[in-house]
Amino acid sequence: MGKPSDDLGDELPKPKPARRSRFRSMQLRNLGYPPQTDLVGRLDRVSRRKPREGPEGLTLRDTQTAWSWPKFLIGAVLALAWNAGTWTVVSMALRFPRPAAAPHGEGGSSGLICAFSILIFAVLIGIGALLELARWTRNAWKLQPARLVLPRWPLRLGESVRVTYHRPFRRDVVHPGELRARLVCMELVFYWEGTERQSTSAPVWDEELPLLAVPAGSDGAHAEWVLRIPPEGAPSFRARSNRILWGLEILLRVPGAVTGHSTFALQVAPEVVA
Amino acid sequence: MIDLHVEAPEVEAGSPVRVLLRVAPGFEKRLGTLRFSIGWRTEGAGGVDDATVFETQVALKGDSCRVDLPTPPAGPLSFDGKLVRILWEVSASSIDREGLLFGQAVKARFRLLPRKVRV
Repeated sequence: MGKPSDDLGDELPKPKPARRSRFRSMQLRNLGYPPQTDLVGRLDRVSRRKPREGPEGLTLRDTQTAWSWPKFLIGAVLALAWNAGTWTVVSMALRFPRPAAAPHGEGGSSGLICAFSILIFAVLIGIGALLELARWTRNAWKLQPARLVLPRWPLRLGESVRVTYHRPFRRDVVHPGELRARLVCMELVFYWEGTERQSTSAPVWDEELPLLAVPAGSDGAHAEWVLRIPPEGAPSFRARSNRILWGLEILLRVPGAVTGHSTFALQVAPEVVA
Repeated sequence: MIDLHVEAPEVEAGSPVRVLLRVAPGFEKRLGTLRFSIGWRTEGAGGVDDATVFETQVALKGDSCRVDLPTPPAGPLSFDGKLVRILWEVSASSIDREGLLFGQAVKARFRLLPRKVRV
């Protein structure tokens, strides 16, 4: 390729190289992960958990997205109750004769249309709840709780640690899949708006880790990543209204078979490795 | 009247903060004791969190005094984020002969940095 003939091209300033820092003020990129609000909520809930000493080392367990009978029963009862109520009303509406039209044809048909619209909306919510319950059951039943094995606790600023992730399947999965992971640090603040406590969050650090493959026919998803906590980062912080949360979010996808995500809160101490 | 100065504006967590307090000539006679406190508070979009981590009283002799105040090794560290800032402050207030606070507290900020460790 020759030199561009446009003279103005030489006068244009060269674009600055991208900055190495990953501190971002934007929203977390969505690469198939659940929304940011879900991530922050889950991180906040598990941020006080400490790893247990196990045969593999210090182990964190994520049971939030794993199968649980109470979760299943509550979901099933709510979805079935909603559907039972909705379909009862639908069958009653179909059985009873249509009310006589109002005098001069006013009001009667518009009221009927409004009632049927609400009924159709309720039916759709019921179907959606059943589908979501089926999807969750299908996923959660196939996966056992995820484990993250850490070499030390808490982590420190400026250090690199090799962590191991395990998520066993209940049955072997015949299709190949992939594991995505990202190391995140989030600011989470709570404030009062009238009598309601609100929260908002912002990412401080978002680093996508290497994408790993889950081979076909494996008995689970197993992966190893190196986490690099930036030396200029902020250590974990937890107060009544303000928090700084570190976490590792992992998304497991086996197309046509299973999807599962795990969130592990990490503790970062106010120490920097020299 | 009272001037409070942090000698090193950046301190590692767990190391003491050295503060120097000077009073205007002749004013020291009115001051009985000085109360020094060190603490952090948050600023930003969320509600305010704060804590006083250490407090001490020092009898003033002369027109200045130098005090070392400890900082906690566990932090929190100074932070300047998008939604929240964590600020560290040293505060000095005067207590009169009857043990009551009088006048406004004077404050000076410093940054609390992570402790350096070797591996």
